[in-house]
Amino acid sequence: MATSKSASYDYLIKLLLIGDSGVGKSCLLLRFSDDSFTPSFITTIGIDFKIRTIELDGKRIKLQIWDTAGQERFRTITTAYYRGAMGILLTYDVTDERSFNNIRNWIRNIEQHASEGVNKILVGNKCDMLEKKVISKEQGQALADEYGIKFLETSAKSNIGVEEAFFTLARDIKKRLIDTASEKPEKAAGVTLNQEPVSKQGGCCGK
Amino acid sequence: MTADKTHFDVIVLGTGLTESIVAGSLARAGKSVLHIDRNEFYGEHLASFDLINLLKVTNHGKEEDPFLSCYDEVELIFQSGGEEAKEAQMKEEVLKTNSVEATARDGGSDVEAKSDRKTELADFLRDYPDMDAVFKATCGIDVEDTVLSHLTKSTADGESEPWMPKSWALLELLRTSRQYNLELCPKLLYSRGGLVELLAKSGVGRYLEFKALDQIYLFWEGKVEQAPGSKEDVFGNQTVSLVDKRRLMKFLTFAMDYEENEGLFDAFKGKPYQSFLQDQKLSPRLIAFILNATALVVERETLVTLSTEEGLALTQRHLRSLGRWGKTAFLVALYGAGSELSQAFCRLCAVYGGTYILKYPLSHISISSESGPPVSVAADDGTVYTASWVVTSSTYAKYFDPEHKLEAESQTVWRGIAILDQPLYGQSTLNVTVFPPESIGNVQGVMATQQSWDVSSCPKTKYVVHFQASGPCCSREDIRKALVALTNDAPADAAKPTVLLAVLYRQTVRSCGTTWLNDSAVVCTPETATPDLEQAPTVARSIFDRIAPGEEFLPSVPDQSEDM
Repeated sequence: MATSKSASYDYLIKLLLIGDSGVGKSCLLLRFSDDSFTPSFITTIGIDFKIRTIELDGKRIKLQIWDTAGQERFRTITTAYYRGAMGILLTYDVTDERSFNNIRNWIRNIEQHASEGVNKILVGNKCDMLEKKVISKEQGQALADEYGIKFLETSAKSNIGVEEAFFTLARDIKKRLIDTASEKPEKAAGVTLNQEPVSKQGGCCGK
Repeated sequence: MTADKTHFDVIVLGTGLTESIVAGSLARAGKSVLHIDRNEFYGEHLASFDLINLLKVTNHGKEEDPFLSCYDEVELIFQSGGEEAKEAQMKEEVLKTNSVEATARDGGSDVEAKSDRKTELADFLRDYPDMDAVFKATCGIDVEDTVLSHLTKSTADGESEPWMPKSWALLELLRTSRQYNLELCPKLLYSRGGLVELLAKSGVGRYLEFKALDQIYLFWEGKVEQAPGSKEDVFGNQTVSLVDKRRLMKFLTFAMDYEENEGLFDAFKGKPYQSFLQDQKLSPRLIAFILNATALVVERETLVTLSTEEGLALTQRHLRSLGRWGKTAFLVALYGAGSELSQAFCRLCAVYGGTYILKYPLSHISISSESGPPVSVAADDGTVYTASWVVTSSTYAKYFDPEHKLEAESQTVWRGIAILDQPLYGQSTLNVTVFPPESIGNVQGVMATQQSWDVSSCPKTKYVVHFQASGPCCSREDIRKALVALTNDAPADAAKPTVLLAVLYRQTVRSCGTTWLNDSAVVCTPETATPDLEQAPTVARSIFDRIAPGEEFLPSVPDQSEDM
């Protein structure tokens, strides 16, 4: 769990969006981070991750939410995508049965690559499209129960349940990692390469 | 599995680092990119794997596969003296003791416990059928004949199968497989090298995390010495005479900015670096320190042929990277350098619209079309993709039309990966030990890199050492000698770490440098023998400049780290 040096936030939480192409992962992300919605058939281009800082029990929590960058299309999500993720929004489209059935595959993928104990929430998106809906709320809930995870129906378009989904996941992670942080010795902070100006001069012998 | 779009500006084949930087930089510059790999993982020869998958890749038994066939001569060392085996042995004994009592009480529980274990082993082997060969090589058991038949056979006579403790110990180790990230080809990053600068400048570094290498050791005259990494180290060293210290400092100060003092080495231009160093009146030990542990040259022939200019450039690169992070000139990437860096550039490519297809076998690459797009790539599934350019790793060179057959040499590196129960040198978790040629009866010099839990290479209680030897006549023996020098073969000696499991293998890649077959097709070679990845950004840049002339190479990406 990263703790900020500056006062802008108390904790940094890394979240991932996972699910088939076209289920609305980027729309959920943009709705949550920018409160915007663009109906578009273009698959994800240009969204790397988004940031939104929220407050939970008086703590400022910076959520860093990563999108798949379209690499879910041919199941070529990099193993690196899962590194350090604390929570995952498993997303399907309530109007697309295949995306629902594929959730099991995505869970297998998560089990293989994400860290053990990562928090998950199942999200059935596009719940505003009642006439096209093929996956009932009960089916979604049953699948979530099977894996022992929480479940919500959302609509990025009509802004239904989006806040709740992200907040629920963040709250669970806070409970798991922050409120009980003590026994787990974490790795010492590593070196990160930011876009800082890099000095040319070496620091060794004779200088 | 096919993309709905079949024409792209550029098709990139292979997800090694050079190809991945090319793909990322071109997508960033607005080109449409299709990036394909026949493997189901990123990184090609630089990939990293969990323990089970590493064993799977090195024990493949698939000679016709253009990637897997680069790995052969595999040898597995599994010592039952290791902790796991000891524990398993103890449990076995406890089981026996208990069983005496148990049999006295109600009978049969020993048999039950044992057959439970066998069932577990059989279940595991059913889930991971590729591990058959591994169990056969290390424990001498044949899965079909031994495990499965013993399952059905009654063991009521209380007879304990001799292979069971060892198999069980191996199973326990394999169960922690996911906690390992083992590189086929481990790499270090120069702290002020071109690659680190590129990662920082382009913003791709945001996907990655590093730790500083703690220490470099040199095996010299029968013992391991710390190579000095700073002025303080040089002067604090008790075993170097004051005169030698002065000479070394004078030389290092010169090497740091050697271009400014051309007069000092003018007479040695084009001549061996070794003779230049001798002329500086440096002792053989200091020369070994400069050549092996600073320039990081360990191949016997290169040590002799390396020119003064080349040697000075390598020494300078090292010296200039000192003092930025930690005690050495190097960074170690978490989860494996080549694998993670390749994936980071692939992600950049994807963020800028690049399409990725992995686990996708190809059948043909055509670049001789008279009309139509200059490049067409046919996949096994019948789809044909077209492009203006194709950038490929040497793994795919065989798919070109016969008239474009490449003159490729084989580049062989012998490697070993050992899982240890203790670190090599107490506190230090990330370090390199250099064995110069003939220092331990080895032909070629050997580099041994220790990694740990700190870079997510293994569980917290284990350590991983990667060995490598390259150059003419390098062999398994070179690796074995270094392994023996660092670890103990007599389990009684607790001072040295014990090898729990080691995989020795030969990695042979097709090497053709960077070759343009015509204006639209270029083949590049992975850097397997070098300890670093400095060549990749340079080669990628040259390819980028030819495909997107005048465009900026990997400009920084907009900062998204603040609230919108």
